Amino acid sequence: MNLAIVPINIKLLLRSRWWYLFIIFSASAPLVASLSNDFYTYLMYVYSVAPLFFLPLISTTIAMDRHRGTIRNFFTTPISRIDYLLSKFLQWFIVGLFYVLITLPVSLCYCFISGTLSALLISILFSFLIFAFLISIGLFLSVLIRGAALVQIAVSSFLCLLFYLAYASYPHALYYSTNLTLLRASPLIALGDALNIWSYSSTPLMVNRIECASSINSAIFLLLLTLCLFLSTCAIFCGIQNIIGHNIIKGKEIYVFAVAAALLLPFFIPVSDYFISSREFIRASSSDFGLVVDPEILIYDGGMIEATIRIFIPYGLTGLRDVALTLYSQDLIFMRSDFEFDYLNIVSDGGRAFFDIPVRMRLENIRGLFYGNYEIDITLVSRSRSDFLTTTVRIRNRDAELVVALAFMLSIALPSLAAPISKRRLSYE
Amino acid sequence: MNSYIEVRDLQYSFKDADILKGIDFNVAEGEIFGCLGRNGSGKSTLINIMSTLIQPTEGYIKIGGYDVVKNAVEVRKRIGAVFETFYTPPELTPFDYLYYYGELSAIEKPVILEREEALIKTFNLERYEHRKLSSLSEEIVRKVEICRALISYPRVLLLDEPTRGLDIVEKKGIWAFLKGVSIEEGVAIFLTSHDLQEISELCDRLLVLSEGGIGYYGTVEDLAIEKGDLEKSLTAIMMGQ
Repeated sequence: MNLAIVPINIKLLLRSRWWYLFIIFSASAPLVASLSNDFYTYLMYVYSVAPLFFLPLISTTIAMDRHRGTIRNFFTTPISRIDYLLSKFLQWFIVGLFYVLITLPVSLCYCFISGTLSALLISILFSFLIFAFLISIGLFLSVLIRGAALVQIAVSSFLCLLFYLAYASYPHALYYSTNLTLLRASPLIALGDALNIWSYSSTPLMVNRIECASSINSAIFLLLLTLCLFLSTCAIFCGIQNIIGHNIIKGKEIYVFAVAAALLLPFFIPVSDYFISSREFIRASSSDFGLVVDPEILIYDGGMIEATIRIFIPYGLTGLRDVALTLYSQDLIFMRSDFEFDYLNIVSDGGRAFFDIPVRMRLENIRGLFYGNYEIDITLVSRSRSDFLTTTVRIRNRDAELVVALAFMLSIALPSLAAPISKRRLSYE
Repeated sequence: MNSYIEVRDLQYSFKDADILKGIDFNVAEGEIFGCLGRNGSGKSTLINIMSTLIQPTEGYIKIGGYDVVKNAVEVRKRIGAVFETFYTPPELTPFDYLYYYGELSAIEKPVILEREEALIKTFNLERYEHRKLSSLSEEIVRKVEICRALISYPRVLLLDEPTRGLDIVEKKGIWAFLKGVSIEEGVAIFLTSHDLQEISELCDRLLVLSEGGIGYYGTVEDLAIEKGDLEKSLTAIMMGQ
């Protein structure tokens, strides 16, 4: 096995303009750390979401060599096609390692301030799995198309990436028909499950997911998927007759893919947006009054809002008798205030008692043009005192977002349509 | 002489078009073998197949006894190739570039450095060896490419229009070098060219491609004796007359 190509390729990569993008991705870690008030959100972004943006770079790696003709020079030296693919894989994996190393100091600082070391370690482990998975997708795309259509490759992989990001929450849209096998392929879900950050949520969907997808399952599934994709890539690359000029997918065909992705994406993006951003943590007046409320709010199509409100009972209180709960929302003109309380639990969490109250409420006028932030006022009344806590629910118009997302996707896809077909060389040359 | 390159009944088709058909020839060790043909006649395709980049539809090519499809890596250990169009990493210097390809060819560091020094001296590249490739002219980069093909001590040199764009003094320098390599190191050289002077100056034998098939295969002298004027006869063969 000859992998001498790896160090020089990394050297070339570091000297090229791609390096600036790499710096931007890496620099986003401290930025997210400073903006995020939650360690898990930070981990999700830095080790699961940010690596996804390497995909467009990875997916052009072989196509670029084929386009420029450097692949001809490589294959006059005694490296096999498999060696070449392995070296490309390794090259990007080392880039991933650099990325993790660069983000590590900020992560460690943040970890010691607000998180646990084990969560960070799991995140880093999963970031490597995610990198491996992304490299296999990128290389797969890269061998399908020759470099004359580099723009299409980059755009398509970006669409793939968005689709994948969005797909992370696809089961939310399906609600009761969760496809768990595919679910585990999602880096977001994999890392989320590994960190076990969904466990406190007791909505039916979340319970299903935790029961069926463990971190080991997710890791194995990601590895298997990586292996399958890489083997497919090897099969295609070793099987093509003309290594310089052969296109498995022509430029025109990739348009179909790009347009299909552009059309499909808006159906997933709004849902995923809720998935990623709907978690809001309000720790209002805990030091003053001894009560903490963490609302977990998910909004489903059809106007259903599901929320889990976790109430920590302070040490001074002895039981439920001391706490009463009332909710009202007279300020929300589009909402009815017919909350349903499914059940009430009391669990001990490291000496602190808490109970989760799953609530459901149906929005009226879901098709209306309301968009923006609304407040739900929750008043918790104990025997001794009354705490008035406020949390915010962001309600968005999904129909309007579909249009916006579609326009956004088309604006991304348009450059690929404008790619210079005339520059494409004859395939047999 | 032992034939080092053996081509038998070679055919390459793309979609419905036969780019090459019924190609048979041998190239011996230390021989300089020329290939002529019009644009699009399949010269570059032939070099690509010999370089293991393209797999033939039918027939086979053996280099040093190894099949270019079945034993591609073994073949690559024995060849060096320069293509008509090329791309060199603009960030590298000729020195780095040659060293890199020496490493890719799994040659030991002292041997690479020794070879590199000799090649840079032979091709008068001393002034350019530590300048970025992006700052060099196409002619200089073409010389660097020839050095790149030679860095691994190949037994076969495949050259697709190696002196295109060079002036006559530089051409003669490269011709002298190629002759030296073929005689002293016993390297078999297969080159394509549009330059009749180059072919008649360098080549022992000649293959003329016409419409994907063989238009002429033999020595340059025989062709000149048989047909009289070399230029006119080659033009006629290439035109399929």
